[in-house]
This record gives sequence, C-alpha cells and structure tokens, in this order.
Amino acid sequence: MEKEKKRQVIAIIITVVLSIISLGVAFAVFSGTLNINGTATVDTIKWDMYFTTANDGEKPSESTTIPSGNIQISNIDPNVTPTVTATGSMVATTLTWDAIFRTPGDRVMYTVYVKNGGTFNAKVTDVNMPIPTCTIKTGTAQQEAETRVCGHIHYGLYNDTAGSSAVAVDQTIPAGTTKAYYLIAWLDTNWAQDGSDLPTETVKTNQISATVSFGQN
Amino acid sequence: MEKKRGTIVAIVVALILAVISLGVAFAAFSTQLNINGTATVQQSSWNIFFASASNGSKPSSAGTLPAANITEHGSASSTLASLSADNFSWAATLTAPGDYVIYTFYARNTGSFNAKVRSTLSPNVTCTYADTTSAQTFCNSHVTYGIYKNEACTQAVTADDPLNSNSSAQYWVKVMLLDNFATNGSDLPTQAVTVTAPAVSVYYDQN
Repeated sequence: MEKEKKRQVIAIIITVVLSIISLGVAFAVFSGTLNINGTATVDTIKWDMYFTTANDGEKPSESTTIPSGNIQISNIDPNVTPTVTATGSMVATTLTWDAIFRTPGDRVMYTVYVKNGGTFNAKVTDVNMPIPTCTIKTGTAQQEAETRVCGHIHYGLYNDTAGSSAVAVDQTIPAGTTKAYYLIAWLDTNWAQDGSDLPTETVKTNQISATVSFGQN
Repeated sequence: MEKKRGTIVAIVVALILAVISLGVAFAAFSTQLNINGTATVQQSSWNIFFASASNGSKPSSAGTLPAANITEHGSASSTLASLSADNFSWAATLTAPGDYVIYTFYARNTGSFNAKVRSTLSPNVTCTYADTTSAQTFCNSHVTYGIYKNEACTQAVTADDPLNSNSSAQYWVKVMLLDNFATNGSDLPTQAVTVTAPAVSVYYDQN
C-alpha cells in the first residue's frame, strides 16, 4: 500500500515536471523576428568663420588690403578738416589696422565683414577690446606725455556706423550669411583749450590685440 | 534567438553612443577672430599770438608798438600802444574833427592747426568829459572805433576769417573823430573828451 502510493506520487511529480518542461519548450518554440531596417545619412558638416572685405566676399587666403572704399575718415567736429592716415588688411581670421591722427577729433571707420561659411548658426561668445597702451620712453616728462596722450585714443567694434551698438556676446550670425562690422578708432577732443597738453613728440600705441570669438548657436 | 536579440541590443547601443558622440563634437566648434592694430598721435601745437611784424616772434611780455606801426592823422596823437602775445591796449588824444590814429599789428598762427576767428570783442568806446561827466552821447555821434583787416579800414575783422597754420593776418585798429559836426559848431565839445576803448580781443577756433 505504502509502496504503491509512493509510486503514484512520484509518477505525478514526474508528469508535472515533464509538463512544465514541455511548456517551456513550447514557449521557446513560439518566436518571431522583428526587423529594424534603416539608413543614416551624414550631411556635410562645416564650421568656418572668417573676415572678408565685402558682403559676398571670398575668404582671403593671403593678406588682402582693405579697399579704400571701406575706410572712412572724418573729424568729430564737422567744421574741422580731418587729418587721418589709415590703412588695413585681413587674412582669414586676422584683421590688421593702423591709423595716424594729427588733430583732436580725428576718426577712422573700417567697414569689414564676418562671414559664417559653415552649416551651423554662430553667436559671439567673447569680445575682448583691451585699452590701448603706449610705449613709455625714458624721462619723466615723456612718460607723462605718452601716458596722457594714450588716454585720448579710443577704438571699438560696432554693429552700426554711428558707433552706438557695440558687438556683444550672444549676437548671432546665421549659417551661410555675412554680417557687417565697423571698426572705429578716434582721438578724442578732451584737450586743454590752450593746447598746453598736446603731444610734443609723436606717440604711438603698442600693438592692440583685440579678439572676437564665435561659437555654435 | 538569443544571439539575434543580442545583436539588436548591440546595434541600438551603438547608435545611442554615436548620437552622444556627435553631440560632444558639436559643442567644440569655435573660432577666434583677431583684430590687431596701432594708433599714432603726431606731435602738434596750438599757438596763436599778436606780433608787431608778419614774422615777428611771440612777445614774452607787453611792449610798445613800434612807431612805424602807428599813423597819427591831423592833430591826433597816440599816448599808449602796448602789444603783448594776446593783448593790444591803446590810448589816443583827438583834438579836431577828422583826427584819427591807426595802429597796425599782426596775428600769427605758428601752431599745427588751421584756425579761424570765432568772434571779436565788440569795440565800444566810453567817453568822459574833463569834469568826469559822461560824454557818451557825444562819442556815439562823433567817434568811431574798429578793428579791420584792410589798410583802408573799411572791412572789419569778422567771424570765420581764416588764420591758417604757419601764416599771419595783419590787423588795423582805427579810432577817429568824425568830421560831422554842425556847421555852426554848436555840438563841438566844450571840454576835452577822454575816449577809452577796451583791449582788442580776437577769439580763435580750430578750423
């Protein structure tokens, strides 16, 4: 009796186990394949910011003189004849300028263009316009003269010809477009009325190294 | 089956990693544009002064105008003609109708900038009788005084007259007792008249 009962229980267990195994096998047999088919295309990627001399100008691969039509001289006082000599050039990402002032109020404006020749919109991420400094020669009088004269020289990079809107961070240049900028430098008119503080010797600034940085917008 | 599932998972992971990589690459694009320049201020000066000659040096102090620069007509006589770098002072005695005194001197511009006359001090003489009472009515009718840019003293120095760099302009100062009295002499002064004029001043601006 006992042996028979035990044999029946074992048989049931084995049957159940086999059933489970069979079910698992059955589950493993039911399956299908989901296919994911696709293609990825990588468009031309380009990042290219540079100076140029015209709205539709090419990227200067070598030093290019800024055309005379892009350089305007004037005097802050419209009744005074300007006495400015100004030159400039550019190559790719470097703009170089030089101005000689002879009369208080003398002013020069360079019209330059920055082109976004890439496929990404760009924005200004940094503007650095250091204050001009002048070489200090020996002699107290000359030092004072050069320090004093240097403080009368000003410059900046602007969005407008009036010099009222400075180039600033977050201003944008969309991909494939060109923006006009105006580099303006001038000698102010804040001199003694009797001319007692005019330079007795020619004073020249050290190289002014300004930068404008662009990043992806 | 497991192998296929594993392959699909691997492809998805690879795509995700590729997208992440592209994102990292986008953030690295940047360009710095350089603007290098120099500015020069040439030596200059502003220097305008009176002188007794067209090439005269700048007076360091007030001095008497040379006699050659003074014309006394009729019975007129000059009693003062003092010229300094920025001031001319004069005094004269006029006795008879038609008397006049003319002083001539120069304004020199030895500075770097062209200049022009901004304005002149309006010449208004004041007159007093010997008893110190006012003779202004008399002067208003019979005395003329002015600063002129021609020898005939017909063209007054005016605003915008140029005085260019490294040049000079000659001026004439004339004071005159007009010959316009009544024929019966009824308006002739009964006392001596002292005529006083302020110092001649000419203001210049950069042109």
